[in-house]
Amino acid sequence: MSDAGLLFTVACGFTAATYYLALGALHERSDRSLLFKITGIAALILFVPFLFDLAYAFLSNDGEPFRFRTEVGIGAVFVFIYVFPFYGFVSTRIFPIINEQTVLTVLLLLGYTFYEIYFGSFAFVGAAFFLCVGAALLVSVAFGYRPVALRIALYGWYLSALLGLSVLQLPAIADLFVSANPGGVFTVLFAAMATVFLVFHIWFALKYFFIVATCVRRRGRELAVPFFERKFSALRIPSGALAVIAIAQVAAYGLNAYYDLIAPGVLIQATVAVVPGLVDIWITRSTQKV
Amino acid sequence: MSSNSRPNASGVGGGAAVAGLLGLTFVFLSALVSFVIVVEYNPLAREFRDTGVSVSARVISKENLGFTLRYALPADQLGHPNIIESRTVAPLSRYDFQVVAVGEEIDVLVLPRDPRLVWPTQALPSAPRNIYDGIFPLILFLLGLLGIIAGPEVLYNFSETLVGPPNAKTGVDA
Repeated sequence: MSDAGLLFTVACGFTAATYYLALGALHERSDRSLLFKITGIAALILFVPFLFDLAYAFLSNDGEPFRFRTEVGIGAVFVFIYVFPFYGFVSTRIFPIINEQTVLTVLLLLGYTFYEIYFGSFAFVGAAFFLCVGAALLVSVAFGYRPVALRIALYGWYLSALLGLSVLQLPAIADLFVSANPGGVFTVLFAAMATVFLVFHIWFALKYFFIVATCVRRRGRELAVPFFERKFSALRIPSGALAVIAIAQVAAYGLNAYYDLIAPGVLIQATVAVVPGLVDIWITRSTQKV
Repeated sequence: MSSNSRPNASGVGGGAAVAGLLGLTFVFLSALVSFVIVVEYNPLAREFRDTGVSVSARVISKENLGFTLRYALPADQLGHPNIIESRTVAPLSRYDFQVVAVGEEIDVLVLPRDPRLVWPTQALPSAPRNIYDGIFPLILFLLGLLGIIAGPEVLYNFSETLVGPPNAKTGVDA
């Protein structure tokens, strides 16, 4: 893939992921303008420098072979990654709304990631323990026992899992972008979308940490409890739809582990980029109807 | 919210709001300082800067592969009976490596605990950090956390103070 193609695909992936992520949290009619504002600003940050690079390449082409320079565009990508997700910390409105199904998709994804990276090593024991904690919380919340503290704990586990995925996946994604052969369009697109999803969730995790820390005071609890009651939705996907998602996920991981169809990293990044967001969007759409 | 702080129009006491904002500021400052410390983390270079003895050493040879130099150190300056042969503990930058010639005398720092550990003065990082440099941002972070705990409304953009259980203390005067 050429430098221009790579930069364009990354810009598309970042913008699409921003829209997708915001769509999963902003569900009210009044949120519509914020949704388009966020996406528009993301597109401006990413595509204007790209067009600047493109114009510069055309205008400075004095009979020499066309050479696309990426300085401004790459700068914009870094500015986006370091600055833009900070909005996820500032705004409570785009703090993600999740439910048990979202956690289940991340649990399955993390299980596959741990299997690919740690299976056969001693670290797999610790990884399996972490998965068991998540599974125990999930089963408890999903089958009736739902005190708010347990839902907050499950939310914390969900964010920790995504933080762990960030630690495991972001270096691999960075390698992908600097390698001489980054891969096809969809590989780069999914990697870019997964990057935005994971970086936003690093900020969400920091915010979660502070919100939980404020619970040592009564005032903090008074604010945190209704906040998490809204962010941990009571709505559940119909069992049939959930079964389809879970079986599709397990089948994709199982088949890939057995037949080596595509690189595990690409499958993980594609899942991160698409599946939890799908569940979030379903929750927000259903909330709108209620 | 403390009982003696006066609530403003959004229902948040002034003192609590200031504490929260100050806390958030401290937390972000600590994050920035921590980032710098992580980037510049180099405890060995810090040990050289703090305890290293500056001596002149003659370059014996250059090893292109790892950008390292071998030196003959003046034994008399180090109180050692013989001339000590040594080599740089860390690879030099390409520039630092290229400007030094074999046979040239350059200033190096030697660790008293082991004269075989040498670091050319010109190649020493300007501000190497060690683990103790993390104490300041840690204190700043904890202060920030205390501020946020005192004014948790800052985490909700001051917009959720009226949302809560029916009996919740909203901070609005009746």
